[in-house]
Amino acid sequence: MNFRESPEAESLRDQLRAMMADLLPEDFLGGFTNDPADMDTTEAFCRELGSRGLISLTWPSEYGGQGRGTWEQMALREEMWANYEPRGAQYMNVNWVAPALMRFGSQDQKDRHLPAIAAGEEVWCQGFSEPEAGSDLASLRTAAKPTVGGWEISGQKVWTSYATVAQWIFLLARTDPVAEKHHGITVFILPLDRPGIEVRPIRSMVGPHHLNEVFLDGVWAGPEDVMGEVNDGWRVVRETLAFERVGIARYARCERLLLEAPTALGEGRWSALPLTLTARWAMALVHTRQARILAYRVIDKQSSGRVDPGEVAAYRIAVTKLEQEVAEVLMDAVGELASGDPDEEPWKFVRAVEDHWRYAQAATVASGSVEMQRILLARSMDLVRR
Amino acid sequence: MNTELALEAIEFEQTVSLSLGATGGFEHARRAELDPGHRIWIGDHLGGLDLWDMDVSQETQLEAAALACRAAGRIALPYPVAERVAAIELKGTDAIGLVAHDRALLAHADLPLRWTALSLDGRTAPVEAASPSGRTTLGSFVCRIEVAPWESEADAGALLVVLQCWTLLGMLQAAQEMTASYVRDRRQFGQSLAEFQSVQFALTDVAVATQGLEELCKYTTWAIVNRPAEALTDAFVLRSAALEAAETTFRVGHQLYGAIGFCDESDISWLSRHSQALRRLPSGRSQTEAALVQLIGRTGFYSPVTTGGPT
Repeated sequence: MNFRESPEAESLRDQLRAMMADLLPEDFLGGFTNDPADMDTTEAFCRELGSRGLISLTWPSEYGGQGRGTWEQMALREEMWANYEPRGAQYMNVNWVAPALMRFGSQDQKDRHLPAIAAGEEVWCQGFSEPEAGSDLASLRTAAKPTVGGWEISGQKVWTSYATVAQWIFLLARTDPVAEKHHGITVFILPLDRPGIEVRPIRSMVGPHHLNEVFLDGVWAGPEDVMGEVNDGWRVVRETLAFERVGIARYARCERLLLEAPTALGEGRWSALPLTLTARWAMALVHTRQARILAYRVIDKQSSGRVDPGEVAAYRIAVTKLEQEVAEVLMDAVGELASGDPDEEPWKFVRAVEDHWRYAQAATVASGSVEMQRILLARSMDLVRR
Repeated sequence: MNTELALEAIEFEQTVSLSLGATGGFEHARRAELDPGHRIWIGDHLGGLDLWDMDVSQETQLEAAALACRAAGRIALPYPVAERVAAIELKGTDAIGLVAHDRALLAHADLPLRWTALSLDGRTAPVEAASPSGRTTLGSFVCRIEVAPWESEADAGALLVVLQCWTLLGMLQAAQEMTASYVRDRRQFGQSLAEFQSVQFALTDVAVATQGLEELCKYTTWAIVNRPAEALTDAFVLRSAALEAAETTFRVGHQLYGAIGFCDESDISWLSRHSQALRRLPSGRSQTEAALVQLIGRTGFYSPVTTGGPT
């Protein structure tokens, strides 16, 4: 065993921290706020990351990447998330859009999108969920009907994060209405300005840009818009989501906020907290470390080409529950400050906690609900003889 | 980074497991309750596997010794394995025990070994007398001790806590496996219990707890050697996780087994009972967490990798 980070990963962290210190405003809490300047910050940051080759860090050299390892990708992921994800929606590009393009995209699709993603110039959204297809994604109804030279797509997507700022949608539609539900689905990659596509934001406590509806009304798609094989979209999705394994490094921001709390609240406030609360705070740190180490187990195996779906599920259960536990502990610690004057000190920390709590509500719902993760973990335990 | 245990250490665990299994497995615990002297045979037997001669300053051997503690935990072995391994590097001592006060309770302190008591702040004192404290159902081998004046200091506390957590991990993993096996076999309403999703979800709680604990045991074993300045804090992080995981695992185990799980004929009952000394001495969950708050205040909480900018 050796839990020491490589010098390459350490130096990457130093480089990223220096960049963030230069480019991010002091009060930056991510791109998805009510201030449009924050979104501008993420766009400028991504272009700078792109110009330094840091978006495509781990891509193979044939796609213009540096071929660096999974541990460096982990370092990038942790540094970004701990610092309020200055890549904005583009974190998804690295986590799964680009790997899916490399695996299933046509040459034209790769040529068009991979350089733009590497340069930090493209934002994507995921056209998966529908009003009648949430956890049961394969029951989706958006229909792509054959027409001369292509398809006409009609239907509705919902909860589509970042659709208001994205240029491209990774869309699932049913191309064979009579096939068994996991068959007959096709992946289309479409520009969001194509006629017939309308995006409507959904106002929510999570904050702007996270939730949207996407309506498709007779949207034309040609064979060049298909990713992978027609009617083979479920395989594309399954393998695409497998790229996301560790997903966002939620534990990194949880740890940052927990460790900031005593200083941010000040000696007077912190020492006045009851032991029941500081003990919960300490246990949240324990769980932060556990989630981190569970992520490292997954990454360690991934770095040698192994994946254990049960271990991935265990990590995701641990980290999403952690996010909510930390949210409650910190809201309890800041107490009435969370509901008070927004300019009262320590306003930055209180805003960060309040932002964390709102976003944490979605942790066990987004990207596969915690119930689905439990089902996957139970399956890996061979509880039911099949 | 490499999160995997050394192959040599895993092989040693298998050797210990096979040897303890071949000589009785859970029968050692049953026999020792009837004849406490049987524990002396267990100590000699483990000595025959060279466990007391390991060089725990060497990382692979430390991993091997830690896994031997897990192997002992898996069958609720009635012997202070962690306490003896943690004392290997201490002169004139065969076993150490962490205690909260002078007339503390210590499991197995009646064995003919040179015991040293260790306080949380690192002071040591020879144990002068030990008498079985009443042979309660939950404390079969717990003794009341008397110690000589506190004299010197030792920094073996972190190692002891970590090794005890490996023992507890072995108990929890065995309890999880036997509970999963039981719910696969037990049929009610025309189907196995394992087919009920509520049962599956209860077991996933256990799996998340034990998997998280196993990885934390591995990390902390590495950390106390490689980052000794925070070793005791790291050890208490681990103990806090272990005590929480124990509650989850045994609660689910007892619930899903139903009444048969309380009976002496069920191995899970032995695991549950014999985990008590590890879980309650020298302090239970709340006091361990309170101690952790103090330790973090003193040493800080350092990550495997520190992320995030300055406050």
